[in-house]
Amino acid sequence: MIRMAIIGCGAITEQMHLPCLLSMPEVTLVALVDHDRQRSDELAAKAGRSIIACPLEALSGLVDAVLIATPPDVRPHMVRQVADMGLHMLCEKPMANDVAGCRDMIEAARSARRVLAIGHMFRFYPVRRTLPALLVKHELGRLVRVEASEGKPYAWRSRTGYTVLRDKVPGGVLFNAGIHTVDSLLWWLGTPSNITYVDDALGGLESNARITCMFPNDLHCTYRISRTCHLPYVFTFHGEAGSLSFATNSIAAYSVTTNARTTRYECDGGPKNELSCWQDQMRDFIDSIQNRRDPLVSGEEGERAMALIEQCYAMKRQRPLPARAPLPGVMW
Amino acid sequence: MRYAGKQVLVLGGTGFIGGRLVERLLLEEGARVRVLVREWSRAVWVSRTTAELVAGDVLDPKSVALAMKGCEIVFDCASGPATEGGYRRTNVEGTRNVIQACRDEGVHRCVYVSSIAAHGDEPPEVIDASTPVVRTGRDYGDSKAEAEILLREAFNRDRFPVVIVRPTYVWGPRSSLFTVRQLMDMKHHRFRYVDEGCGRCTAVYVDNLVDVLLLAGDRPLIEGKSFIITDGGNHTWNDFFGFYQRYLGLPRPPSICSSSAIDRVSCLLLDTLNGLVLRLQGQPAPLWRKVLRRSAHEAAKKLNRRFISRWDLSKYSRTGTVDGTAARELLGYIPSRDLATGMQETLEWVTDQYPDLKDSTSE
Repeated sequence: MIRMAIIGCGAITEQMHLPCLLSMPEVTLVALVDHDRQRSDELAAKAGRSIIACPLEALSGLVDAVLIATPPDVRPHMVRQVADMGLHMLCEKPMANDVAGCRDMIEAARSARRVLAIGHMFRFYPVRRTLPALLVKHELGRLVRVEASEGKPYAWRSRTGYTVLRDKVPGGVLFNAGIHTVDSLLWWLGTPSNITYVDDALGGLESNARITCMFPNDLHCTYRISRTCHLPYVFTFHGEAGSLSFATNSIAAYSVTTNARTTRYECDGGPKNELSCWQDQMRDFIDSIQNRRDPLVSGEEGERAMALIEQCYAMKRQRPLPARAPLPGVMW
Repeated sequence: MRYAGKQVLVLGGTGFIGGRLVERLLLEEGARVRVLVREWSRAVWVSRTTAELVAGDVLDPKSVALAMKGCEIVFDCASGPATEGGYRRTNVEGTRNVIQACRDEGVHRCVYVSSIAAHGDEPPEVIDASTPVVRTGRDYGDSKAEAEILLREAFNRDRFPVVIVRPTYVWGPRSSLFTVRQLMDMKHHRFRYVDEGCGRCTAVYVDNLVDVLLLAGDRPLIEGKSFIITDGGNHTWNDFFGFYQRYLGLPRPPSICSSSAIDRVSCLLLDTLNGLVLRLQGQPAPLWRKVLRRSAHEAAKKLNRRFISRWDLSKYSRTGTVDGTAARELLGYIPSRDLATGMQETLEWVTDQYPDLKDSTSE
């Protein structure tokens, strides 16, 4: 049994982390922490049982591990504080606002000999976990092209608004939502080269972005994301002998097209619903603590996704702003 | 750069008109822009810019006052949510708060974005800047008319530095009411011309409107004036919607007749049902209310496949003119975009933001 606290009582905690932890017998949720004490009191009361709301400093000795679900700008400082208290950490994505922050967090965890796992939880979806095997199984031949897209008008009811505030985050939709896809692509395909990046930011945070790059073995990749318009939520892997597609929120379903014929499949085994995937992430975190191994998504993995995004933003900063306002949302 | 270095507040800056105004104030005018944000999720367009975003609501006098600190010019593009009483609260009570905060802060110019809806469903044959606003019992138009009355009273009382801009039907990139809605209606075969599209199109392209707002915020000696704004030109709705129809590659949609008693009654019924749905909104609701709401919604949906609202019927059948002389003479407004140029930009935006629209018109 592991004793845990959640730090940060925003929308994601209420909607996902809290139900997930409360549903797991191997975890005892002990405390909730938020700078807004009224909010943590409210969520603790809602969660019932004997969960308390308390300040961060009170966690020492009270819990074994924490789930950090604050806005990313405060995480490096928080991780150092929590690691010094001897607690293991599962940290929401994006792990920090920049690579330097990621490195601080990794170093803090390493020097305290604590686990730092990053919440790129889509990696726990069976279709993503088994993708390399599926590509082999369906004999698609050498991969030549990968396409990914995702987008819908933003409707997340953020309490703090940090996802649209320049002084809180370094980027918009790519940083906040696209980091999941970036992480998965890097995990599956390796280190990209020949990266190009465009977005619609006019000195602020992008709401539409497109990345093109080459992965090893001449694999061409395009990725488009939006938080203003509807785009298909889909990954498509084109091989020489056919293609494999799945929705970006698919847990186990995917389809294979060969010889102009499309067949739908389900991955064998593994979680079948979203909550089970979140529970798998938590089990991986607990197992990495108990067996002193790296979690599936380590701090270094989180840093790798952040590094690619930082590289894209560096390209953005090199371009001068247009003298006339371009069409809204159109990337330039 | 008329606004270089000036601190400007845009209310409604997360919306369609206000959002475009913010982009142009920052990129083309060198202004320092602050935007009041009621809902963070609505700020994804304006967050692309360097505008300062502050949390607040025009209904909260304290947040309005705070947002206005240090501002020389205020553009009020706020409009209420389409809930029962939503327009009235934002446009009337919100305007009261704005007037008070402008006075307290000593703002030099307050540009208020009203609407042609303030002239009611059946406006006179010729509308110009001096045509009085009227109340007709419709939430949106009445709330804009009342807001104008408040602003005019403030001007008459102590020369409150307001300029009222009354756009007609604003279209262009991000327009849900005059671009996206019609394209979607055409795609789903719900679109109806009125009188074969022969009514006079007195719409205004969003960048032409923003040109006017920028002029209205800057020109001296125009306090207390109102301006009604169109694209000019001599087009019919047939010309206008023909661009959408050709873009989608669809056959010409059918037409309803504004002089047909059946069509008029059906449009009235549609309005009544939609009004009922609006009045029955809100939670918690007892079962009878939910059943009635659902039934009215379903009936309205069916009727909406063949008919349009009375407001739309009146708008699209109107052959009268809008006289923009005041804007031309006092502001020097000459539309920078004609219909074809605006449509080219708009449809480029549609292609980018609705990539599936053209591919699936057979649905």
